[in-house]
Amino acid sequence: MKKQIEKNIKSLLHSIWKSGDMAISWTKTSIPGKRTPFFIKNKNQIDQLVFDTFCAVSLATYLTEFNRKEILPEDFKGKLHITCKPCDARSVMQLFSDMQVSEELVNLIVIQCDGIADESKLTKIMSGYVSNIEEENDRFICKGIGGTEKSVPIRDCWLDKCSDGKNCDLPYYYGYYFVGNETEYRKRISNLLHTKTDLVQDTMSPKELKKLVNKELSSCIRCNACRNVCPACFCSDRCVFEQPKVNVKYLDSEDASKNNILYHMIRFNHVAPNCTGCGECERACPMSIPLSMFYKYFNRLMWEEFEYKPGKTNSERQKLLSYHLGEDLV
Amino acid sequence: MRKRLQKQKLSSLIKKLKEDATVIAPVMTDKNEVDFLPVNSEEVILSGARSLYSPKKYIFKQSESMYDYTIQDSGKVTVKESCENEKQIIMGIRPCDLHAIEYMKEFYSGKYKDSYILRRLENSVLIGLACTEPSTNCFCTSLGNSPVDTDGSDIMMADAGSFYFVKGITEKGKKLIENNKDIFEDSQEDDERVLSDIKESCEKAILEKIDVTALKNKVGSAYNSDIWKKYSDICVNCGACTFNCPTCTCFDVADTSRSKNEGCHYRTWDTCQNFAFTLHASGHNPRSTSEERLRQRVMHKYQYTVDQMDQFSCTGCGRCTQVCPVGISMIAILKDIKEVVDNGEE
Amino acid sequence: MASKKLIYLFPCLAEKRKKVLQKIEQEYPEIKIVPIICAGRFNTDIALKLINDGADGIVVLGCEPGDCHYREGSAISERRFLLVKHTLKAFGFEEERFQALWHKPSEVKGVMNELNLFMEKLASIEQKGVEE
Ligand code: SF4
Ligand code: SF4
Ligand code: SF4
Ligand code: SF4
Ligand code: SF4
Repeated sequence: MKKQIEKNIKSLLHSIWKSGDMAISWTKTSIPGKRTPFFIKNKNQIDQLVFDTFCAVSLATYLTEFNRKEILPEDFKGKLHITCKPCDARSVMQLFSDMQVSEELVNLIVIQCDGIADESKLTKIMSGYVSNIEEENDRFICKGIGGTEKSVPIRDCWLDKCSDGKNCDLPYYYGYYFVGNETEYRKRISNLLHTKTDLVQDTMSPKELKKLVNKELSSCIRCNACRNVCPACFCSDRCVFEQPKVNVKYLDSEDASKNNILYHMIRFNHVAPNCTGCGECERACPMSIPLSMFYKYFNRLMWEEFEYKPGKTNSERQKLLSYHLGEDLV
Repeated sequence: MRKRLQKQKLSSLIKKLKEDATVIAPVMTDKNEVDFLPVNSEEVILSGARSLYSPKKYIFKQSESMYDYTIQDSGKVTVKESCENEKQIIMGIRPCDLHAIEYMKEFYSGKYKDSYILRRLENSVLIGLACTEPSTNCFCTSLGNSPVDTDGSDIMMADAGSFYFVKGITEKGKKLIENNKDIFEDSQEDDERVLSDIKESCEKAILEKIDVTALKNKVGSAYNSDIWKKYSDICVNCGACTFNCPTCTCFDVADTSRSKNEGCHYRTWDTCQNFAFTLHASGHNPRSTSEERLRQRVMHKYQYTVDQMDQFSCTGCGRCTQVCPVGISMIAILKDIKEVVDNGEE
Repeated sequence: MASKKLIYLFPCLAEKRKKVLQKIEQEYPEIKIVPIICAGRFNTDIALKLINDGADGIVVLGCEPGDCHYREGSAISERRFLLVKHTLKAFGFEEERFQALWHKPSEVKGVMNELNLFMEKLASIEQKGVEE
């Protein structure tokens, strides 16, 4: 069925493609189990597109980069097609409502998704070496060292967000194409358990929590991967941490772990109002730092305090940036 | 000097070594990832694929103070150079990381000597381990290296089933073996064979091979080609690849105050993928686009250090590929470069 | 460990608040006063940095939302301050360390009352920390 979806995406792109368009999608790379983003700049590249269980990278991130990069080809004059899983579509919605990218520019293609696997989880299960992966129903058949075969349930490799279904809702937006069967999709996600999140912040005293945070963040190497893949962190080269000329130097102590805490505090303080909980930061982190313990807290906070779920629509302004006199405060 | 170390003796060796040095070895972290950490004895993992994190951080620290200063009330300033003299023994270093340390040693002892790093290297004993299994992303053979290379190590170990075959390489290493000779056993004549066996089986498992050595001195000709754009488009310019690379040696220095009259001059890792890396005070940035920055990383590894030091500064460990959040693969880049170079030659 | 406390006070419209600021200086010499233009202009990152660097408490003194000289200023910041408190909480700092006080510039007694309460709270946090 996935092959069919991939085919449908391709034929959709073929049918709506006009000269001067561009598309962002995924393609294969040299590593088994990794799919890399792929910029389609002319029509005959469409057939290299790939959509399968490994398309974990959220492409919404690239919409934020128009601020700084000459991503668009010179002859671009049409639409930017972007293929998205429903969770990524919510990140795109949030970018629309934060006015980071214009709706007229983007053509959103939402794809029916059956859960996406994280290659690094599979690699861990296979203790570092996979030479070939095949998908059979709900299992991966992986070839390991010396030709050994191992069958791994796909669910064991799912991205975290795939199992609790909080991010799977389709956005309230009528301007997208849906590839796949929408009713079937809605049925699948309604069956997912919307578990109540238990957060460490609820159960731990500040002191214990401090210890945990210290421990986790002390291994952060501040590579900025979490910031740079985050679709809600859209300041790019204008980020507060990268302004040599600002009068407050935020990160300046030689004590790395203290720095790291401030780095993440400021980052989450900035993205909390528009974090859709896409989990990209945690996936990107090379040190496997459980950043979800923070963004889940803020996601819940936004909902409980402001009844605001980032990424739900293309127009709801985040409450922390807009205020009209007379409006209720919180 | 050739010896045998029975596997059950490993922990007693570590206990012994711990008496006068910190012993660092690969262990399983609570995140299910193998990392180099100070160890006690039992938990060491000397099998499987290489660790995701390299031991670079014990030689070239993520951040370290270079000198501390204090200002007395009288206005007198005293400066004290940081001088670590701790002995450390790093165990289980794979040949790729040994190559990296060797490179680092050469790099930091060029025209300007980096006394901090050289001192630390002097105080370290490096115990290598022949690689029995590659990881998915390994491509050391493409660079002319092999999974049983011993260069850079003081002592080399190789898994030979029930025991480790141990070989003293440098004087430092031989002395260490000599000091603990009751733990080791004499080796048999054909023990050395284990190295070639390991080499054969490991090399067979390595997934990718392209002859990069044939591209030596030619990579530069791809400078103006359009392959870079393909990757720089999707690169998000984080620093994950460079921070995890065992041969990335860039750092930034800065000053900080701990209190009103005390502070230090310190350095931290820096990465060429960052916009601010080459930002001038005037606001001009000679490497302002992502394309230039990505090209810099690749060119540095495969061309610039060839020009300067006549060696690649990539060991083929594949970590950059493994950690890249968007799946940019060094092998794919190298394949493209090869194509460009080959086409140019015809 | 019960050394001198490090507390920062960020008052808006400091010109008009001379009276109350003088009183604070007298009663709490350990409080460092840093005037700002408007509570809505207060950069919350600074609060995070200060607390992470070891400050015991941060107080922002602003005008009642709706009463702000710059119209929405303090109203927007009230929402943002809520976020700061939660950021602190999420990272294992006591959220009580950050406090916003909303008062008319002429008010003195109300400010002092609330400030007393705040100082008591800080003391009890410290007490708890020692006990644990
Ligand atoms: S991705 Fe991970 S290691 Fe890198 S800065 Fe973010 S938290 Fe730190
Ligand atoms: S951390 Fe803050 S300033 Fe930096 S990119 Fe994210 S939101 Fe922008
Ligand atoms: S903070 Fe993390 S979860 Fe939230 S939007 Fe950014 S990448 Fe996604
Ligand atoms: S460039 Fe990549 S493969 Fe080469 S040494 Fe660095 S991390 Fe390893
Ligand atoms: S890790 Fe990947 S995305 Fe990040 S800078 Fe390196 S190549 Fe670019």
